[in-house]
Amino acid sequence: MEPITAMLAIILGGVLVGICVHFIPASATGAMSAATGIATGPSMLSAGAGMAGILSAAYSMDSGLAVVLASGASASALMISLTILGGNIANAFGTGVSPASGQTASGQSMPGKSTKDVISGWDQKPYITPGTDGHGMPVQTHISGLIGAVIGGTGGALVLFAVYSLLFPILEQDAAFTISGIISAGIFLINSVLPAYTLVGKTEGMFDQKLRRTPKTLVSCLIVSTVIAILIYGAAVVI
Amino acid sequence: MSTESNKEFTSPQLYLIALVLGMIAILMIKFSHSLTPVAVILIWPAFLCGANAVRQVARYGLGTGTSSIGYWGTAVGATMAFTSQFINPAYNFVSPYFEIFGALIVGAVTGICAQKIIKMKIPVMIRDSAVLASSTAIIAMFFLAMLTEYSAAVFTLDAYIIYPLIYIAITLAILHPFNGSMGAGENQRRTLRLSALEASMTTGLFGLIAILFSEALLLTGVSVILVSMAGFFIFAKRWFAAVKEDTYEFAWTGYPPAEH
Repeated sequence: MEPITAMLAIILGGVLVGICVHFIPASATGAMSAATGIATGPSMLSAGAGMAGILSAAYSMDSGLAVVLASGASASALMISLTILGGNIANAFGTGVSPASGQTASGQSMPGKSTKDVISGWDQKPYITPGTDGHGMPVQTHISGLIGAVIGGTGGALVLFAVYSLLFPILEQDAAFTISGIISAGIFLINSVLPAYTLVGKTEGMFDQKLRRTPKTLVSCLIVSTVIAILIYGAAVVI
Repeated sequence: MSTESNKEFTSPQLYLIALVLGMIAILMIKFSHSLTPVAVILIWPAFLCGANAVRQVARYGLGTGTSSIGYWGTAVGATMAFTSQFINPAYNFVSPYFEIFGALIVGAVTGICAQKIIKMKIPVMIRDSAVLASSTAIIAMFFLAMLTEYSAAVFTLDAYIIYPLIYIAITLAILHPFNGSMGAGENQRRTLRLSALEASMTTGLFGLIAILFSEALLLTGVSVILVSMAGFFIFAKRWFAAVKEDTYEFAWTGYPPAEH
């Protein structure tokens, strides 16, 4: 990968990371089964998925860009899927509530006034505990999380590959691997916090009304990623 | 408590102190590695500055956790500090200025995006995002300098194995003081004292790392641990005194008034 292409890849990867956060269902109050989504902040959850993706992508670095991206995307998706499974088990068998989308049950989700899960077709309304905004992760939320993780994992892996391409000619392979990993993790964290500002700590994923705020995230992440990419490019190539 | 709030340090004041002393600390090590135990003391204000910046933005209610903002700040600062490893040795004179001011720029740009595009309406967002990112870059550059760059027997590139540790250690020391002091009675004095305590713990940890890292850093490591331990005991006493003082204001704590 040419240095200038690597710089553009860092920008694109950063933007993908920013977008992914809107798809991954997360809510701090989910810890008390009081809202739909995985029980933590969106940025930390996305960062966790991204780290899994970057770690996996690093193992396939010698196999070319396509395999690196696929590896990052699949590892992130696997991590989110297992987290959702764990959360649903805790909700169902620990708290005693079934997975249900609060926004869908109240007819305020993106698809419209329907109170049914978009994918499974199951009605959400009867399963909502009064006084809560849903709980657990129903099918549509799970699928949204998987899509988000694929986007984020791809973005993280792209940044990893791009930074590695910049460093490989000037550093030893081991050093280039490790430094690329930590820098791509850093870029992931930087871009995953900006969307959290727009989500205000809670989202049900792509069926949440907050998905409409994605353009703000996209522009913010584009600007921040561009500045970082220019500085990294400057350090690696210019000086 | 109301009188204390009037005496608070502002972010620019703390940043100016952290920047000047931090730069001196890094350049001192660059000049002579034997000055590291003294330089360690000069880097502590950067921890206070970072913790104060987290406090300033997090108390507005960010929509993300205090931990997230700590991770974000260090992500910017440490990422910029780690880019120093790509720089051609012929241009080494740009370090640490390039990294520290690079982090300041990225922090400010993120703050501008949050304020102008996302419309967060947090008046200190731009200033404190920049301060937070830059102060973490100062700390990261200091640890890189302390452990690697200016020691004759240790090559810069060996440092890559400790990058994740540098990252996480700085993050915890920056985000925890406010998180640990949070609540109705939170005030800057107690938060900064806890921050100073955690700063000394963190530098002590890196003293230990220095010993494990290379035989050439044995003396540096031991002296850094000793200085950090002295700082730890002083700051722990000061922090605990502040905690007790603030705790006495609540009748429900069970402390008899005679002890006050």
